[in-house]
Formats: sequence, C-alpha cells, structure tokens
Amino acid sequence: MLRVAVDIGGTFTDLVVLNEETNEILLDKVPTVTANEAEGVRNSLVDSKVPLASVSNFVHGSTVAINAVIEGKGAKTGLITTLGFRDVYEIGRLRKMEIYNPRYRKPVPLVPRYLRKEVAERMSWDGSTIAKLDEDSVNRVLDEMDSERVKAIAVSLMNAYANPTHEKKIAELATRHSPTVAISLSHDVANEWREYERTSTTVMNAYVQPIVSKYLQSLEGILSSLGLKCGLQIMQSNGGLTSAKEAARTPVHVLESGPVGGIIAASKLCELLGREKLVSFDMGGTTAKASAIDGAPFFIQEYTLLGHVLRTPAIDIREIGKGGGSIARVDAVGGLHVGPESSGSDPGPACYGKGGTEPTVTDADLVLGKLNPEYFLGGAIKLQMSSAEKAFEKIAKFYGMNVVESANAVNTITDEAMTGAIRMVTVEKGFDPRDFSLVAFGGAGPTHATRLAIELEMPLVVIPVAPGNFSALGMLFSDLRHDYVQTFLAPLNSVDLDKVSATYQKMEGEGSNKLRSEGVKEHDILIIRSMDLRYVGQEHVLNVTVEPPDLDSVARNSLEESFNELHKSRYTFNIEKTPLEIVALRLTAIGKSATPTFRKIASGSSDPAGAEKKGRRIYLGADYTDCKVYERSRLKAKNQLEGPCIVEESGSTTVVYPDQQGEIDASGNILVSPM
Amino acid sequence: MNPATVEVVRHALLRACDEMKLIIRRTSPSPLTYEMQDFSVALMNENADLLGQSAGLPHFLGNLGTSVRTTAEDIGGFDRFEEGDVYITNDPYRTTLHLADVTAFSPIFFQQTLVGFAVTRAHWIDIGSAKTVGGLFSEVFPEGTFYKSVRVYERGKPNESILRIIGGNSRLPWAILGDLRAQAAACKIGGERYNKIIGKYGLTTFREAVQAIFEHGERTAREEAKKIPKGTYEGTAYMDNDAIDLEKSIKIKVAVTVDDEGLLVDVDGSSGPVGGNCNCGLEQARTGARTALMSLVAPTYFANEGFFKPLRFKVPESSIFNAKWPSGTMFSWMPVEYLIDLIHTSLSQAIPDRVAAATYGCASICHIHGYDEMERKYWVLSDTQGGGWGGMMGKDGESAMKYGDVTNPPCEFVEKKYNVMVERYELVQDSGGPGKWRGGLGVIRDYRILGQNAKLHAVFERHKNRPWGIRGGSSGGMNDVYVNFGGPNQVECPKVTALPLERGDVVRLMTGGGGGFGNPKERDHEMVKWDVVNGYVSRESAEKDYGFKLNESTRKEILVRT
Repeated sequence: MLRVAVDIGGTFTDLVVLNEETNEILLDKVPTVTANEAEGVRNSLVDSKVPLASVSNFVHGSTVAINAVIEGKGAKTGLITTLGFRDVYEIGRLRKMEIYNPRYRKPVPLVPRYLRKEVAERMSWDGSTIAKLDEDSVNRVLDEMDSERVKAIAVSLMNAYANPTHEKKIAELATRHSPTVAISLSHDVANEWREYERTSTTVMNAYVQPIVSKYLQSLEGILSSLGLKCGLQIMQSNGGLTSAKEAARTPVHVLESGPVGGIIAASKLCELLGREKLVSFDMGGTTAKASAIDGAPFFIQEYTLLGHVLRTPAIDIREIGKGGGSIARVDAVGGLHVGPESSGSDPGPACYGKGGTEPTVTDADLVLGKLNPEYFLGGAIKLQMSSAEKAFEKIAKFYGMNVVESANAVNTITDEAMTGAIRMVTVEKGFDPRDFSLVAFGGAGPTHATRLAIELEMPLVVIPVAPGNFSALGMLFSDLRHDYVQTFLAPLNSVDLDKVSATYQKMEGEGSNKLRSEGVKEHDILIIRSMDLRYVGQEHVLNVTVEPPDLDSVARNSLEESFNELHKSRYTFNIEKTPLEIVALRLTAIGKSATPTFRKIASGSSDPAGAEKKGRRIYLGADYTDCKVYERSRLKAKNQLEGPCIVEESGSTTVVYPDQQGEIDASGNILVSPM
Repeated sequence: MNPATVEVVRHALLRACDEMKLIIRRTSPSPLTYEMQDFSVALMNENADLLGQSAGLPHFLGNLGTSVRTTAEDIGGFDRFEEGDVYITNDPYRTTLHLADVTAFSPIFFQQTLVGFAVTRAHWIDIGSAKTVGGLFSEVFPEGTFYKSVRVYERGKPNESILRIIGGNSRLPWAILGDLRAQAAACKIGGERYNKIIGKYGLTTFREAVQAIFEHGERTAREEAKKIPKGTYEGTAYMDNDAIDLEKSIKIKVAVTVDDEGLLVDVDGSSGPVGGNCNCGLEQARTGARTALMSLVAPTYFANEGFFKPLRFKVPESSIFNAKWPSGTMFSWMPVEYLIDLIHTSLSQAIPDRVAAATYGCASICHIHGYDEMERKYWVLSDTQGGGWGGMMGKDGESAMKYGDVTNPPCEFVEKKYNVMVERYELVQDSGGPGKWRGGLGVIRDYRILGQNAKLHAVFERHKNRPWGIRGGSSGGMNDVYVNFGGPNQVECPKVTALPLERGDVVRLMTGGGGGFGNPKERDHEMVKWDVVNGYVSRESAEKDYGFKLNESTRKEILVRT
C-alpha cells in the first residue's frame, strides 16, 4: 500500500509518496495553484501518476485557512454574547504592545460591532445559572443575523467554560433557524476561562470555518473521483492529524499546520538515530523556525495571529523574519539590519538576475562562495555573482569594508538571530543547547546550521535526505491527535478525586470515540492525562503529566514533586511546602500510526572521492579557504567528510566548517560534528 | 566597531530583558503583576545607563537608572555593591512615581568587576498605606512603607529580618513578598545572561558595542529632532484638582523649545506644590518628557540612554513637578500624563503629522477591598481600565487601550476570585472626541458587590477637564465613577476614599475617550457612516458634531451632510 502526503506551501505544492512494502519514497514539487488549491493537489497527483486506489493513508496540509486570515477573506461572521458583553471582543486586554508608538493599532475585529449581538442569560463562575436563557432574544438575534446574511456565527457566553448549557441551546436554536450557517461554540473550541481569549479563538474558528469546510468538501470530491478509497486526514497545529470532518468543524486547530510537519519528521528521525534532545531548524525564503524536542515536541496553549489571541494547542515554534530572501539595509543613522523585508520569489535576491538590487542573505551566501551559481535548485536558476556583489557595494562603502566583508557581516547578523531563536526555545525551558542535536532542513537550513552549531557548541548537526521536502515527509509520520481541556479550579490536596476521574473519563470517552470513528484500532489508542498546576496564589501554570493515569494519593505526591522540580528548572526557584492548585485538566487522545522506516542507501568506504566535484574557495570567518565540493547523490554510507568542505544537492547546500567532520549514515543523512 | 557585533550585542541584551520579564510574569503571585503586568525590567551598564528594556510601562523606563544611582548615594557609593545583593528602593522624591512602585535590582559582576545592573520595578499591591489605594492624604507617611535603599538580599542570601518588616507592614504580605521573590529571580537571570554576553566578547569589546548602541540611539533621536522646525511652542491644560481640594483646578504649563541642541522641555508656569498627594518628583517628570520624546522621534524603537541625549528638562525649585519630602506623591502620574499630552499639544502646529490629541488620562485607578471575617484575610480587587486615545493625522485614536503592555483583569477571573459580579463591560458611545480623525472610545465596567463590608477607592482624573482635541478637534468623554448609576441612591465619585459599599451595590467605572484631531465637519462620509452603523457614534452626534443627518426619505442608515 502507499502513503501519500500533500503539503501546500506559498510557492510549491510538495508531494511525498511512500511505498510501505519497499520503503521507496517518491518526491514531487509543482507550483501551488493559489486561486484553487484543490486543483493544485489534483495536478500534483496526476503529474506523479499516483495510483490512488492503492493508497492506505492520505495526509494533507493546506494554507487555505491561514491565507483567508492573512488576506482578510474569511466569511461574514456574527458573534452572540451575554447581555452587556458584546464589546469584550473589541476591548480585548487593552495592551499597547509598542509602548511609545502613538500610531500603534490594536487588532482589527474580525466581527464588526454591528454584527455582535447580545442575548439575555447568565451563568455564574461555579456553573450555576444566574439568569435563564431568554430564547426569544436568541431568535430575535438570529433573525437579525439572517437579514445581514452572515455565513458563520460564533457564540461565546460568560462562564460557559463552567456550564455550556446555554451555548448548546443557542446552537440548537440556530441550527433549526438557519441550517446553512456554521456555528462555533466557545466551550467547544476553547473550554477555558478568560472571556476575551475564549471569544477571540471562537470568532477565528467561525471566520474560517465556511471556507475550510467548502475547500475540504471539494478536495474530497476530487480525490474520490480519482479513486481514493481511504479517508482524508488533515495536519493540525498540534502536530497530530485529524479527520477532514473534524478539521471542517474546528479549523482553528489547523491554522498553524504549515511548519509542524518538519518538526514531526525531525523527532521521528532522531528516534531512529537514538537521540532524544534535538532542535529542529527550518530555514526557507522569508523566515527561519526553530523548535525544541525532548523525546517529544513542546506545546503552547496560546499564540497570536495578526494580534488575535488564539487559545489552541500548537507546537512551540520560534519564528524569526530572516530567510534566504531577507534584505540587508543600513538605517538612517548607521545601524545594519537584516529583514524582516524579503525579496520574495519575485524579483528574488539580486543574484537571481530578475531585477532585484537589494542585497539578501542568499546573495551573501553566494558572494562568500557557499553557493554554486550553476547548481542552485539543481541549476534551474543561474545565479549571477556580479549582481550579488553589486548589491553589497552600498553597505561596503558605508562601513569602509570590502564587498566580501560586508556580506560576511550580514551573515553574522543573520546567524546571530538564529542562534538567539535556538537559545530561546531551549534556555527558556531550562535546557542547555549543548545537550541538543540540530536537525537542519528547508532550502537555506543546511547552509547556515553548521555555523550555528559551532556558536552554540551543539555536538551534532543532522542534514536529512531531501531537506527541501522534509516537512511533507513529516506528515507521513504523524499520529492522529485530539486535545481536550476542562478548566477545573481546586486545591490539589483536598480535591475530590472521583470528580477528577469522572472529568478525565468524559474527555477520554470523547477522544476515543472520535479516534474510533476515524478508523483507529483499540490497541493503537493512547491516552495522556495531564494537569495545569500552580502554587496557591500564583497565576501562571506548569503542565505536569499524570502518571499513573489514575490520580490517587501516591500519584498526587509525585505530581507535587514533578511540579517543584519543573518550577525550579524553569524559574530558578521553587517554594516547597506551598500547596498546589489545579487549574485545568488536559487530555490528549492519540491514534498511533505505523512508523515507516527510512530506506538504506548504498554503502561505501570512508573515502568520499567518488562524489567529488570541482572545488572552490569560500570565505569562512575571516578569510578565504580552499574547499572540496561533493555531490550528495553520489555520496555513500560510511563516507567520511573532512571540513572545510561543501556538499551540494539539488535543493540545498551543506557547509562543513574547519574543525568539523561529516559522516554519511546508512540512510544517507549527513551527520556533522566537531572534529 | 564591527556593525555585526553591535547588532548582536543589542539583540542579546533585549532578549535577556525578555527573559527577565517572563520570569516575573510567570512567578509573581500578585494579580497586579502577573495579570495586569504593572511592572518593567531593564539592564544597565556600570554607570546605571539604560542598555535595554522589555516592553512594559513607559512611565517606569526613563528613571530606573536613578533608582540605582540614588541607592549608591545612600550606601556610600557604587563600590559598596556586592555580588548577589538585591536592593529595593521606592523613593518618590528622587526616583519613582510613588511608594507603591518598588524597584528591586542587583549589581552584576564580571570577574570581580562591577559591570552593570539588572533592574526591575513592580507596583506592589499593598505596602500598608492607611487606605489601600493610598487614600487622599497630603503627606507621604500614610501612603505606605518607605523602603529607602534597602539591602534585602546580602550576597545571595535574603535578610529574613527585613523581609519580616516588609511582610508585617502589608495587608497582603504573600503578594508583595512574592513580587520581591519574582523580581529577585529576574535580576539573577538578567545578571547571568549579561555576564554571558560579556564572556563571549570580552569586556572591552562589549563596552565599545554599548557605546555604539548609545551613539546609534542618540543619532536616531537627533536626526528626527532636527526635522522639527525651530522655535518655542507652548501648551497649557488644567488638572481637575489635587484630589483633596476638589474645587480648585491645577494649572499645568509646558514650553518646548526646539534648537540646535535638541529639545528643551520647561514646566515653568505650572502650579507650585499642592496639598493633595499628586506632587511629582523631578526624575519622574523627566521620565514623562522622555516618554513623549520617544513617541515623537523614535516611536518604534526600544529606548536606551542614547535616545534621551537630545532632551533637556527644566523645572523650577518650587513646582508640582519637583516634589519635596514629605509631600504626598501617591497620584503623581496625574501631572505626568498632562505633561506628556501637552508636549504633543504644544508641537501640534510644528509637526502636525506626528502628534496626537489628548488621551483619556490613563491610570484610572480603582480598588474595591474588603476584609473576609471567615478567612481573616484582606482581599483587594485592583482595577485600572483602558480608555480612548487621541486622534492623529490619518488615524483615529484607539479605543480601550492602556499605557504600555499592561492589561485588564478578565471578568471571569474577578468573578471567581472576589465577591463581585461584572454586569457590563462595553465601549461608551460618543466618548471619542469628534474630529476629522476622532478620538478612541472609553469603556464602562459595572461591578455588582456580592460580599459584605467592601469599600471603594477611586482616582479618576479628566472628569471636569475632559481629554482635549487639537487642530480643531473636540474633547473626548470624561472619566467617571458611580455607585448605583441611575438609581435613587446614585453617588457620583470620580475621586473617593474608602466609600462603604453595601451588598447589591453596583460600582460603575467609566473611562474617557481620546480627543479629536482636526475639524469633525471634514470627516470622511464613509467613516461617519461606519461609526453610526456600529454605534460608536450616535445619530445625534453625527448630526450635531459631524454635520450628517439620517436620510429621512429612506429611513435607512444613509447619512447626508447637512
């Protein structure tokens, strides 16, 4: 059987097909059809002649939802709130993020005020009903929404996290009243306290829901017409998969699915290499993304998108606005900066010769000799050294440097920002980056990663096979995953353990049922329970896994220990003997998928001479050095590389620095370590 | 100096500050700190010059250095600092806004040499003032505990005796000692990160980089200041009162002179010292001027000492902006906020494209507190709301926003934590000052009191003298506080101390809107229509202020200019 992943990016649609019997992998890249992504998927499938009837898993990552948000093209959305609270969504948390800037703008509401309507009802913080839901007011509001032709409605009532009865009733009335309008309920989308954050998340869900559901329907239609028998699975921001049906219902969970494939791939790769701690580093044209993995990736429960706060679990990724296309410039008073402006793909870096005149990181890589002008994207683009050099003249002249020195300065600033990002994802969690391996991919990742490893004293850099398609590959390794949360405020010492168990059981029931309906077998279901805990009086929580899964007094003590340890490592101190408080119960339901293995490559001796190409001079640190250059596709397992040298392949270039050495492993990964 | 090294050091310092901020936010037990983020952090060099900061309250950032310098003065010089020390200070005459803002800082040593300071400042929720929010007093003594350059950690060890004095003088000892612990942890992390940067580049290169960072800041500020036409510009406004004598308004006058040297801000002509507790220390006033300067010449940058170089600040010996011991300073933000807005107002003729009309006046402070007989504990609900900001050329003022990266307490949060229920949280129609670019809107929040024996304290300025417009724009709505609004027992009390509240009473907090910019009659048709459709502006105001009328023949929301 075949497993297929289709990952739609801004520029390319990546296709990866894995033959489960032979472990053979087929890769394909076609230009993304921006206007009609589903059509792009069809093209790539037809192009690569995948026999869809023999596909057992079809995994998909798409940018439909995030593009709708970025371009402001979501559905016309209405919001229903408790009487007196329709402005909570616009008031937000009052933050002025640029503290001196009088022109600072708060996020623009996705639902304008005239589409925010109130209904009479009120729940208390403990879940008791203060005022019953006035159904007439609901029907009135629904009439108004109808006459405004809204396509989606978000419902977010006060304290609905404690008692969702009224939200459910409104959904019932709305479905009867306006059956074609999509309804998003706050307790369903983000079942946690803090009314603004919950509302903002629910509104975002509603805003993209009609578009995502229409897209997925049309894609499912295309796939089944091409003969696909299995269900379509969608990548989520939490690194797990979900069914197309579930994604269509709560699309806010798939918004940030783009970068997570690579992180899943990196973590599976390291499992195979027997390494637990790693940083995945993905550097493309406009951004670089770093993420730490310690056995498993880390998750955040909240992030912002264009200023909108979203309470939805996502893999913790640090993204910085520096990639191959980032432009370097001198500011009005002599500071040197790189990015976040990018040359994009049109005109692209100056060396593309398509009219770009600003110096970019890729231009710097070329000027320094790291890139081969004849072999960029396999030779598809001939890079022009003279244009790149010309682009750096202004910076060089300003600082009284030569062109190469100025290109090196730009690279230093870029690399510093990357080491900063890697430091943040490790140090912030109490880790030392020296204990971590670096897995580098994306077009520009392998060119920069080895220098970052030197800076950060990381012991190993792994350059996987096909670093350009690594993200799509990761989707094939993903499990189905559903996250649940229930705000549950209680002291840990005296909490009613039965009530805790009952709450977990309810979430577990929901999770396993959903997995079963997605075709997961009983023995592949994995349930992970955890708790958000804090010291009494403190606000911010740390998430601690509950082991064993049933909370008894013994487990309670070990929870307390784990919490104290974690607090000390994150925040330099703990306050032992201070009682702990539960804030939320969390449960993750995972449907394990079979782990594919990486295919072995041909084995050779330690001597890589068979792969050697014409050498060149590259500028490393302070001066030029003569370097050997190898063709990656001709390297064999067990080949040893001695720095300085360069490994070129169609989609990327790896630089091995002096005092570094490389080794090709059985699967063809390049492992770079200090000499 | 290699520009790459400078940039690398600059970023590393900012990141270290971000980490310090994270530590405080995650570990403090005080809602004022973790939820509303009423704190700031910074790193400084060995002269206590500001190197880097994290987004926080601008009011705190210009004078963190003086906290270090005055402490050094008090203890006999910079060479008295020892590794692992944490000092706290809250001297309102020489460094901070008021006693409640407590600076905690640590010296940083690199190979036994003093190389810098990690500095934090947080608003401690209760430092034992006679009335929780400080009350309306004319002296410093009832305002809380004065921690004057106190060494709370000695070479890494907390001085338990001093911690007991601090805790013993607070209604909420767990909260403020928790703040102190969080601040000390942040200082420790800040110091470690700072040392790591020096370790990497060596002290000499690091200092050169720091010099280059300052020079870059100074050049940026000077280049922008040069674009302001030379001359002297003036602005005057009146504070409602000094919070004790409620009938007498207080004059604030600002003159900004732009010359070859940069900007001179002179507050001569402002009121002398006042009897109420809104006297402001010189350094806090200077910080206000620095905040205004940043907003005009470098609004998107993080500040460092270099940016402040083109600013000179002049204040007479006897002035509301030169508070002397033992005058009351609890509400000293009031004159500071006038100062900031007036710098913009005075320059509105010179650089109309950079200035904003007046804001709602910012720190609209309300405490509802009580004593829980059952638990024998005090509770204090501290709420400061956002309001409307002033219109600018090409941009309406923002609605419901605070001064910096600080937040509100969520309704669901206060309902769970305190004996109150929030009945309404909404924007105030027509509170944005009319203008071609109108002011932002203020908010209303209604608290119903569910417990016994609660008391209300509030300090809402710009009630009588509303946030003013510029260049033909009109004033925004006023700040106000009511108990039982619209009821037979309604009380209006924008400034009040310890007003007893009954179970069932409703406290209404209402913040003002920003002033408008430019003639409202020139406001774009579509924008007025959008405002009316969304209820930001009423039809009455659309007609009266903007000159638009409902089209009577269609009865639809089509407005015609009258």
